[in-house]
Amino acid sequence: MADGRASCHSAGGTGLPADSSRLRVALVGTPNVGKSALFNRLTGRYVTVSNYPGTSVEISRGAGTLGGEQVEVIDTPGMYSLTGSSEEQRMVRRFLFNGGADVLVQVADAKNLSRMLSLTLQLVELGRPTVLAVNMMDEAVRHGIELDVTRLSTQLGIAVVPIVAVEGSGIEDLKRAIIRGARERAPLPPVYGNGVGTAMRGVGAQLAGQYPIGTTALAALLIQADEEAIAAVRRTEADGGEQVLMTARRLTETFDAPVAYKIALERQQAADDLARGSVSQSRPFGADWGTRLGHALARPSTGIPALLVVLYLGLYKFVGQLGGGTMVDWLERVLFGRHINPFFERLFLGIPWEPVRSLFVGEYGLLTLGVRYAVAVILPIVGAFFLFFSLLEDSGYFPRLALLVDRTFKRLGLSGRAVIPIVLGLACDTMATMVTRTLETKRERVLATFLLALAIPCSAQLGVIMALMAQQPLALSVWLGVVIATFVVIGALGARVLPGEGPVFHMELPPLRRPRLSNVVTKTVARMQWYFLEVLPLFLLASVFIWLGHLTGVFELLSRALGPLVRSLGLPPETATVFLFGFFRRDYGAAGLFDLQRQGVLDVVQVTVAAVTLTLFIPCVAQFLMMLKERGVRTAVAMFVLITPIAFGAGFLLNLVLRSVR
Amino acid sequence: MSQATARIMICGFCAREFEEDRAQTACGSCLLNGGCRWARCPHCGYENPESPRWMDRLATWVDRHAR
Ligand SMILES: Nc1nc2c(ncn2[C@@H]2O[C@H](COP(=O)(O)OP(=O)(O)O)[C@@H](O)[C@H]2O)c(=O)[nH]1
Ligand SMILES: [Zn+2]
Repeated sequence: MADGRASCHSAGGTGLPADSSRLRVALVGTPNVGKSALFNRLTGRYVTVSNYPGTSVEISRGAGTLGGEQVEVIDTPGMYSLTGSSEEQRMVRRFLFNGGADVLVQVADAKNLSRMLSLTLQLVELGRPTVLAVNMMDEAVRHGIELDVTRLSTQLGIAVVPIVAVEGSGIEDLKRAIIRGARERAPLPPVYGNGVGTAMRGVGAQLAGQYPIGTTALAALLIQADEEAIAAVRRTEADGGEQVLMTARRLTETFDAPVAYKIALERQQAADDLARGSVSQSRPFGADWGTRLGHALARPSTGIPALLVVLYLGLYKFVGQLGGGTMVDWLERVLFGRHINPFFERLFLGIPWEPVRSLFVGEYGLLTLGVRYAVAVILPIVGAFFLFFSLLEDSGYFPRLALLVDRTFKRLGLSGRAVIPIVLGLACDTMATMVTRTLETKRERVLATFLLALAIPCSAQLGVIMALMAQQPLALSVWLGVVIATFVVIGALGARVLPGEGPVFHMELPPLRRPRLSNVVTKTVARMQWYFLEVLPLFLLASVFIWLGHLTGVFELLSRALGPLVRSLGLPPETATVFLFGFFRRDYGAAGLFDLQRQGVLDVVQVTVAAVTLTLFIPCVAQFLMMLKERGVRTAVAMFVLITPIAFGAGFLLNLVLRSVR
Repeated sequence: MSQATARIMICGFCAREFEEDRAQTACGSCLLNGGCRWARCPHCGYENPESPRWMDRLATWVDRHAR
């Protein structure tokens, strides 16, 4: 960094300053905020670059003069949060923990203040004199961003100084603030809401000893079972910290999501609140086309029609007709029908033992069914879906969707935040079930898990259904209507049954972006790779099960047992197999249905009824296991028991209605 | 001055930046414990797909040979 400057590398020196009478000022901040620029402004010609003791992390020190006083300025590695396991983060934590600095100066980018303030809060928690240097004010002004310095300063309880490091403006003010900060009392720690805040205060109140960092920060570390913090408490507290460590441990166990994550969320929320109060964009919205479009997408009057257009073009035209129609057609008929399947069949012709041959080739063969479903049916459909999904994601559409549905979701006892698991559910319900963990209340988590299991088709299922009904837009609308109606009606009922407060949700809208081809391709490929590494083995496994089931007759037995149920929906007996498939994998069932329709076994009404029932039908094995793990046996089984009659009931009613109107 | 070595990701949902490394803290209790192909955004909880290693390598290879 310091070209032309004297610099020395000393691996593993003492690291701490030899002359401890000098005031030590540490610069902290995320990468690329202008920390180096400020460091150069504050320090003189001589800078030492050394490794922090016991690490390979470099740390720069330089001498500076602030208000006639000689000080030492220390530059720390750029980072987003003090909690984290990278070597840099551990080093900075240790450095601060050991009282390595008298004054902390956070350098922040004025253009992205809300992203910077959660680190500020972490620093304030430390209970050391802290100054916030809001850098790049020149660019912020150009972006029309206005900052209420006084207000932010009052709310944080520390000095806030706007600067332009590269031009040197504001530097004198900053120097004065640093000197003043060093003399003044340390700031009061921020107060957080929810369980996290209470927990931190509870633990903090039990700390009696003297520590180099504030009790709020120490309490947060203890709840996260940080080893260094625990050791310090053991050393310092009169009773060896037994009492407080036990409290902390108990609290750690009461949080069901990882505590580090909960605390980070709580800080971010506080940071967002601070930013909302003191940062404003003076330039009116709508100044440019992009922002106007961005807002229109989130407003119901324009957003809902836009959503329908997006779904029509993306899901119906692209995934359904192109992926599920044209591409599947070619792969199935030409590639597998003419080349691959005949090849395998010829290959296995020599095997005299029929059961073994049927394991590989034949109606339910591993190669002719398992691989064909995976490659010829699922691959093009899922590929098209993920491409569409990644395109929407990269354009910044999802947060707008969250705002758009927020009001509807509130009626279902969910917040806009629940859009995240629901949207992810359209990719994979199993993963989405895991993500419900990020929701605030238990009630919301249960409701979201239930709705995911009931009414959210996963990517492959959705894609296959699009393909299945691509030729019949009317049937598709019926399917869509019934599934959405079930989602809303059952969701509203669920919200009634489960008492509790409605959640609150606030989200900052990031700007709409022009999607970048490289991003979209990378994300699509990443998702497809994930899907296939997980799915293909399961497809093959399911094929083996089905083969076994056929061989032993168990499958016929189950199919026959399902027979009356299937018949009551007005479906041919073959569909029983499809529902059995569906339990192994949602997509597998859908692919089976696809096959039946192509064989011409099903008429339009039957396709619609089967698709609705299959969509609502119990989740696949993997999702069910995840439900067990996340929500516990009782809740998961109760959902399972509820969903089956809802699915078949809806199918039954739909069949009656459709038959009568026809 | 060495910067943080962790890769910076931009969340596909909330568009905030985070270190891939920090995403792991959200995975503490997951069965795969960080061994999966997803990075959960610490700000909003969205699961972001990590770009496969082979794609990164391919990209660097293409970069090198394009010149
Ligand atoms: N416009 C503007 N650019 C700045 C300012 N401070 C730093 N920069 C630029 O921001 C970039 C990152 O600065 P640097 O000091 O390397 O950031 P660090 O990663 O935090 O050390 C560089 O290109 C700087 O020239 C500022 O106040 N205004
Ligand atoms: Zn996010």
